[in-house]
Amino acid sequence: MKKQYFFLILLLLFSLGLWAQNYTNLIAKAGDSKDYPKSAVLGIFDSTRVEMQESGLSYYYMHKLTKVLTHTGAKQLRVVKLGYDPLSAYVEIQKVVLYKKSGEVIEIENPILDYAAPARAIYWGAREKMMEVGRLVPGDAVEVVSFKKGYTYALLADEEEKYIPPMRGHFYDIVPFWSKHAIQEKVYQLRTPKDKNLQFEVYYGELSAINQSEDATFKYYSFSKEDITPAKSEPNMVSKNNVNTKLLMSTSPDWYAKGKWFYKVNEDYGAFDPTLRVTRFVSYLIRNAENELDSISILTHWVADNMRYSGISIGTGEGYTLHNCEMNFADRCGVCKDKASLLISMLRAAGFESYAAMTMAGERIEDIPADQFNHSITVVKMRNGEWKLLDPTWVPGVRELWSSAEQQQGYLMGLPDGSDLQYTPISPPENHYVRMKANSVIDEQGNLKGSITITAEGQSDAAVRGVFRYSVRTEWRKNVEKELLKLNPAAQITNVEYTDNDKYLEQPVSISYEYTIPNFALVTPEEIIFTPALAQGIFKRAMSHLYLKTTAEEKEFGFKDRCSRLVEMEETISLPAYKEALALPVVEQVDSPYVKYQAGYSLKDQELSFVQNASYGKRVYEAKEWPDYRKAVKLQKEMETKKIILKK
Amino acid sequence: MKKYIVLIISLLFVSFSFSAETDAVFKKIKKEYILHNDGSIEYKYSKELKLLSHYSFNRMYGETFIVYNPDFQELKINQAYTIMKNGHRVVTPDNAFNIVLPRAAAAYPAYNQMREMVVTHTALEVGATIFLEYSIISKPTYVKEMMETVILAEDVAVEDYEIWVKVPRNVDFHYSLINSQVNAEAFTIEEGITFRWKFSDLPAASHEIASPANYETNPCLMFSAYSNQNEALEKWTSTQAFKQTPTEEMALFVKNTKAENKTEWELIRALQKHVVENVSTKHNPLKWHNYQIENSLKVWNANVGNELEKTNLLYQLYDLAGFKCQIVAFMPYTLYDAQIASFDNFEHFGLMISTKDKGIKILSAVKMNKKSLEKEYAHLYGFLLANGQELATQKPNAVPKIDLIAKLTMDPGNQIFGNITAHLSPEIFNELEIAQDTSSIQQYFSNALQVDSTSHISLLPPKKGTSLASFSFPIKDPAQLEQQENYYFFTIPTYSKGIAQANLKILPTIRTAPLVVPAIDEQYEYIFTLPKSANWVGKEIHISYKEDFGEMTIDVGIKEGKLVLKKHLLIYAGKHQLKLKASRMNVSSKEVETNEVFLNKTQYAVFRKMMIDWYSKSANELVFKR
Repeated sequence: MKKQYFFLILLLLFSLGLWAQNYTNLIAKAGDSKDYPKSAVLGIFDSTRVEMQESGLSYYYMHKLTKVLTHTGAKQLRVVKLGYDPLSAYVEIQKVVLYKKSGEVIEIENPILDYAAPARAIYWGAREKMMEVGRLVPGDAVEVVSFKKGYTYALLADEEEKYIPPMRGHFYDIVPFWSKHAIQEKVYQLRTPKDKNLQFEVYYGELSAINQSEDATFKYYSFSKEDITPAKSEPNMVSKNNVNTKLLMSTSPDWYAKGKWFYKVNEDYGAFDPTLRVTRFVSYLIRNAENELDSISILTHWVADNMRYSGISIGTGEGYTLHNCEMNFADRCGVCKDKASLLISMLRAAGFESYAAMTMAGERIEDIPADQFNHSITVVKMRNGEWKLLDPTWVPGVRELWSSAEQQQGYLMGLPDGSDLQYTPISPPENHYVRMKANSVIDEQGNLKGSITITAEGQSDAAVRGVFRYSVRTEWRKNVEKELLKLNPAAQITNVEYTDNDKYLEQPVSISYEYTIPNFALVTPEEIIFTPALAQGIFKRAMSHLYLKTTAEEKEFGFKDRCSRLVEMEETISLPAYKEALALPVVEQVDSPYVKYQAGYSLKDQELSFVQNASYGKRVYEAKEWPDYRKAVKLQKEMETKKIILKK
Repeated sequence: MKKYIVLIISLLFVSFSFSAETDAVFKKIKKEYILHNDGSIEYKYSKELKLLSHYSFNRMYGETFIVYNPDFQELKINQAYTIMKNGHRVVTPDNAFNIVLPRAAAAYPAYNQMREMVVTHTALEVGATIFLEYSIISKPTYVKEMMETVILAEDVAVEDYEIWVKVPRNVDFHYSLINSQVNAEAFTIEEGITFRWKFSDLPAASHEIASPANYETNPCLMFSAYSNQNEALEKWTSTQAFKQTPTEEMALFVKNTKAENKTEWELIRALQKHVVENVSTKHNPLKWHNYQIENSLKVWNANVGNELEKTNLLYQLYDLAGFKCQIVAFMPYTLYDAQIASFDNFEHFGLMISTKDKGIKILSAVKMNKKSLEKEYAHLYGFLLANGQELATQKPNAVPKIDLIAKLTMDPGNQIFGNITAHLSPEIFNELEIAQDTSSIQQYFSNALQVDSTSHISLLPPKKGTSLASFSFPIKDPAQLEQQENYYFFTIPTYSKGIAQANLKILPTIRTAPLVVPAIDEQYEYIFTLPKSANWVGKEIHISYKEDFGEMTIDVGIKEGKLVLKKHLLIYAGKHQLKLKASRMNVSSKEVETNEVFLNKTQYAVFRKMMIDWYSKSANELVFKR
C-alpha cells in the first residue's frame, strides 16, 4: 500500500514539474559502470500501474527512468519503442525526458512514428510506436512515461470494446522481475474491481514487498523488488523465465475455465467445421488407411508438409481464433494454430473427435492459469478413450506425430468441459535411436576398405535427414558425401544408397556407404596406428550432445538437449598381421538414471571390435545431472582421438 | 508410331528427371525499366514460377518481398494468383498482402518511411505455379538518372528471362552485358529507344561452397543513363549530404579525444573506434533513399548510420582533428566499368588517411579493421569516391605469403621447446592489430604452442627489399604432446589466416560451379631435434604438384639427423579485366591480378587431391616413440 501511495504522489509531483531536480539527483547518485559492470544501462526505477475494469479491459500506466552506463547502453536508448497490435491494444508514448550528464533537462519533442513492425512468417498487422532520443553518452538518463490499454488479442470491433480481452471479465499478467540489466527498483501495482478474485504467485525468488488492500470498490495489489541484478546466462540453459524471479497473476479460476473458453471461442467461430471439399479430400487421402493410427498419421503429415508456416490475418479475432477449414484449405498457409485447426477439421471429417490445445514451447508453464502459451497443437481421441497429441507444425518431414523435441512440455486441451494443465511425457531414448554399423578391412599398407550403415528413428531420424531437409535437392548427394568426408577428406565412396527422402514415412532413414580410405592407418615396420572410423565420429549432426559446451564442471541452472537419444555404434575391423596390441583404449562408463555411456574395444585374432553406446534419457535436465551428462559427452569426444596401436 | 512412342517416353523421362533434380523452375521472369522524359522511372516485374517440391514452397518461394520507399515510389500489384496442380486458379486474397517495415530500417528513424510489401502466395502445392506482376513507379528525386545492375541468378533455373529497357531518345544510355553472348535487340519508336534482352534456360545459381559471386558466372546486365562513372560520382559527392557539418559538440568531442590520446595514431584509432563501436550500424542498401545519405550532423545526432553515412561522419571527425582524408569505395572488379555508373555495385567504403608514422592507411567506419582496407578487400577494386581515381596504394598483384620455420626439440620430459620464426606479408598480417600487441598473433594459429613464459613474441625489423613482417616465438610447451602408452602425438601449428581460412578441407568429388580459391604462398618448415631416447614413428613422404593454377610440395623425413616436415602451397594470383576508359569511342581495359582464382572442373579435381594431402594426418601429425 505504501508503494502505491508513493507512486501516486510521485505522479502528482511530476505533474507539478517539481521532479526534474530530484531526478537529476537520483541519477547522479545511482552509480555508474564501475558499480554495475555487467550492465549497459541501469534502471533507476521501472513502475507499472494497472487498472483493471469490470470487463477485463486494463489500463497500464508505465513510468521508467533509465541511466546510460556505457556507449552500448547509449545505443540501446537512442530510440524509445513500444510494440502493439492495433486490433487489441492501444499505446501512447506520453513523455520522454532526457537528463543530460551535464545537468541539462530536455523534454524530447520529436515526432512519434507509428508504423507496421518488421515481420517474418507472421503478418498480423503488429505495429510499433517509436520516438527518437538520439545521441546519448554515459551518465545521461532517459525518463519515459507511457500508456497502454488492451490485451494481446481482439474480440469485438467497438473502439473501446476491442481492447477487452477475449476471456471477458478476466485479467492475467506475467511480470518478469528480472532483466538483462540492473534495476534499482521495480514496482508493479494492480487495481481490480472488488469482486474479482486474483490468484498470484511469485516464482524463482522473492520480491522485496507484496502488499494487498481493498476499499469499497477495488482491491489493490502492489509488488516490488529492489536491486535486481542482471540475469545470469549459461550455455544451453533452460529458459531464463524458468530460473529468474517472475510474478504470475490471473483472475481465471483454474485451467479448466481457460480450456473451456478456448474450446468455446473456436467452436463458436466454426473454426473446425469441415467443408464438403475437405471431407471429400480426406476420404481420398485415407482411402488405404489400415487402422485409426494410420488415418491420423496420414492426415497429420499431410497438414505438416502441405500447409506452409506463414501467418496471414483474419483481422478481428486474429491471434487466438483458429482459422476456419475453408480458409486453411484454400490458403494452404497459416501459423501453428491454423495448421492445428486444419488438422482438427480433417480429423473430424474422418470421424474422429478432435480439439485444439495450447502449449508453451521452450518454457515451463507455472501453475497459475495465466496465458503462458506460445504454440497451438491438436488433440485427437483414440478409440480406447486416450487423448493423443499431434503437432503438424513441428513434424514436417519428421516421422513423429508429436515432436519429441517438445517432451517435458506443459499443455492445455481446449475440451468441451475444459481440462487441467498436463505435461508431455519423456520420450524414451529408444524412440530416437541412431545406429551405426561398420565393417572395415585394413590392409598391410594401412588402406581401409569398409562399409557404414546409419539408421535412425524419431528425432534422430530427422537430424540425419538434415542432409536432405535443409538444402535444395541438387545438393543432396554432395551433402551425403560430405558427411563421410568429415570423417576423412580422403574417403572415396564406391557405392552409396539411401532411403528416398520424399517417402520419409515409409521407413526410418538409412544411409549406407561403401568406401575406401587410402593410408587410413599409419603403418611402419614396427607398428600399426589408427582410430576406427566410427570412434572418430560420423553424422554428428544426429548427436547434438557433442555440441554442448563441456568446459563448465558444474551448472547453476537446468539445461536442455534437443531430444532424448540413443546412440549405438558397432564396428568390426579386420586387421593386417600384428603381434600384440600396445594400446587399446579403455574408457570409463557412466550409468546414471538418465545418462548412460559405455564404449570399448575387444581384440580377437585378426579382428578388432568397437562398441560405443550412449543414452540420453530426456530433453530437459536438472543442474545436478550435468556432471554425468558432461562426463558421457567428454568420454565420447575423447574416443574420437584415442588410437589403437598394434605391434607388428 | 514407334518413333513417336520413343519420343513420348523420352519426353516423360526428361520431365521426370528435371523435376527430380530441382525444387522449382521459373517458367518466365520479365523485368522492364522505363525512363520517362520527366525523369520518373517505372519498373515492372513479373514471374511465373512452377513449384516441384515441398521444400520449394516451405523454404524458398512462399513469399515475395518488395521493398520500396513511399516518399518517392509507388507500388502497384498488377496481378497475383496461383494455378494449382489441377488447373484451379486461386487469386491471392487481400489479407495476403501485408506491408511491414524492412528489418534493416528497424530503430532507424531516418529510414522509417521504408516499406516492405510481403506477398504471401496462397494455395501452394507441389505442381502449382505462382504468377505475380507488380510495378514500382519512382518519381524523379535526388539521383534522377536511371542506373541498374541486374544479375540474372536465381536459386532455381529460369526457362525464359527477358529484360526490357526503354529510354527517351536524348538520353546518353550505356549498357554492358557480361557472362553472356545474348545481344540486345533495339527498337526505335517515337518516344524513345527500347532495348530487349532475351535469355533462355539459365541455370540455377550455385549452392556450392566457395562458388564465385553470381556476377562472375551468371549473365549480368549493367546499364546507366549517366555519361560515365566519374561524372555520376562527382555529381553525387558534390551534393549537400557529403558537405561537412561540424558542430561545437563534435569539436569538443574531438578535442577531448585528442587530450586522451598521446600519439597521432592513437587519436586516429580512438576516433575510428568511437564511430565503429558507439554509433549503431545499419545495413540498408543505398538504393532505399535513392542514394541520398544522411549528413554527418544527422548521423552524429541520431547515433546511427549505414556504412557510407558512418564513413562520412568519421571523415568529419578526422577533419576536425586536422587530418586530411578521402572517402574510398570498393566494388567488385567485374562490376566496375568506368563507362557505366551503377551505385548498386558498391560493396564497402573506407577512409584513406595519411599518417606520419604508418603512411597511408584505409580505415573502416563499421569495424576496427586489422589491416588497411585495400589489403582486406584485395578482391575488390578500390577508388576515390569523389572522382573515381584508382587507389595508388592498391597492389593487385599481391599473393599473401606465410613462411614459418620452427626449430623444436622434445626434451626428456616430453616438453616441446625451441623457436618459431614467422614471416607474413602485409596481405595476411594484421598489421594494425599485431603491431600493437605482438602476442595477439598466437590466436591465429591452430594448435598454437605455448610461448616461453619468461620471454615474449618479438616483431623483428623488416628484411631489406621485402615488406614481410617477421616474428620470433620462443617456445616452451609442456602440454602439446598427446601421450598413449609410450607413443607421443604432435599436431603441427598452422596459421589460420592461410588456406585454412577458405574452409576447403571437405570437398565433394562432384562439383558444378568453379571453385574460388585464395591466392596464397604458404610454407611451413618444422625441424625437430629428438632426444636419443625418442624415435620418429612414421613414413617418409614426398608429394609434389605443379599445375597451371599453383603448386604444392610436402616432404616429411629425416634430414641430417633431424626430423623435417616441410609443406608449401602456392596458388597463383587470379586475373580480372578492369574496364577503365570512360569514353564511348574508346573503351579500354587492363588486366589486373587479384588474390583469388577460379578453378574449373579439371583443376578442381587436382586441387581437391592437393587439399586431401595438405590436410592429411601424415602431413600434419608427427608420432614419436620412446
